[in-house]
Amino acid sequence: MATTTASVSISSSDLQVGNQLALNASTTCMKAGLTTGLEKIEMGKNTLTVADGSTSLKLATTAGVDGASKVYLCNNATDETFYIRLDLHDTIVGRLYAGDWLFIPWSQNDTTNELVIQAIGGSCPYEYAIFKEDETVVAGA
Amino acid sequence: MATINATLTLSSGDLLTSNLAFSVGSTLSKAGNSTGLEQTSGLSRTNFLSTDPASRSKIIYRADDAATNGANKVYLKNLSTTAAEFFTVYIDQEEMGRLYAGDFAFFPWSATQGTLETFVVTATGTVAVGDSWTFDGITTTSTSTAINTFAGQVDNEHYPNWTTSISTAAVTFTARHASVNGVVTGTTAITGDTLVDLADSNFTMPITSGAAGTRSEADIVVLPSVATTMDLEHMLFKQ
Repeated sequence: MATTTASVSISSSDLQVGNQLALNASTTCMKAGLTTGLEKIEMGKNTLTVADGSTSLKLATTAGVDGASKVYLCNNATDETFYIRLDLHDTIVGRLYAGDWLFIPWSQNDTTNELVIQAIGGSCPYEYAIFKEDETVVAGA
Repeated sequence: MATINATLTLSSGDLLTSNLAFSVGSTLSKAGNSTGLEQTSGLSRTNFLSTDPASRSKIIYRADDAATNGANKVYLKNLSTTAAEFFTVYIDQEEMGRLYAGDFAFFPWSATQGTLETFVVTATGTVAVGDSWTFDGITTTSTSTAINTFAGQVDNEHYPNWTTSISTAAVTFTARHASVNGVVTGTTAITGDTLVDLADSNFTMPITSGAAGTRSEADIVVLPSVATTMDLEHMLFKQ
């Protein structure tokens, strides 16, 4: 098995008066319910244009249902008004503004639970990584 | 403005033949500008303990808690140490994923709000000392024969599910949370109010205007996998 470690650090000295925020969390990315590490990864970078409209970042597949996949996505745009909207199927999750990143679990509760991204305001270069369990290979059209 | 830095580090020495090691940092800013986020829910720890599976889920953050389409960010962490225990995270009805023991999530949240139900109830007729009006579990008993004074008493109450404002004898009720409260549909009568008119003096509290609400479709709901105790750490950074 592989050992993949994800750590987050969130800090601020002036968000809360008299309370320095120094939040640190770390996890080893395991398969669902096990102590066996995730062994597969898919990653890449691309540029999403406004003209692309809603684009599937990753489709959910039968073999991935109820897994413990993790998704990293970062908007590398530099114009602070450009953002990537992330949807889970037809539900809006949030806006990833220039420089913002996310790290979420993605359990693919069913095969319609795809990750959808859309550039708003202008072209957004982005990078992503999906740490995953199995997936069903979809036949080409 | 506040300066909040968030950094993610991902590393593995054996996932690939080449070392995986990268780190990304960002400063949390408001939507579309470089002004830092200034508001937070604070770091919280919520316990989930219930023997009733149907009531185990909790709304961790309501869309009403943050600005719609803001650059809000949510941090979640499952504090369990039992590998098989997980929290399922939902955005409204859509499942995002399962946070297994020790796992964390950090993501933007658009907090798409519904609309707050609202209605105006206007005290009319002749009110007597002792007359009363009950709504949302709160009974207001008149201490005066002045209709505007009674309306003021109604406005001064603290309703569990509504806020109020007043203009002479008209009290505007606004739901605290966006949802289909079902109290009004347009200008139909209140559902669930009780009026006592001791002197039968035509004292009434009719709705004079209203607008039905719609539910939010972005509340963050968390469901633990087991009914035994589980703890979730969470924090909201918001506009």
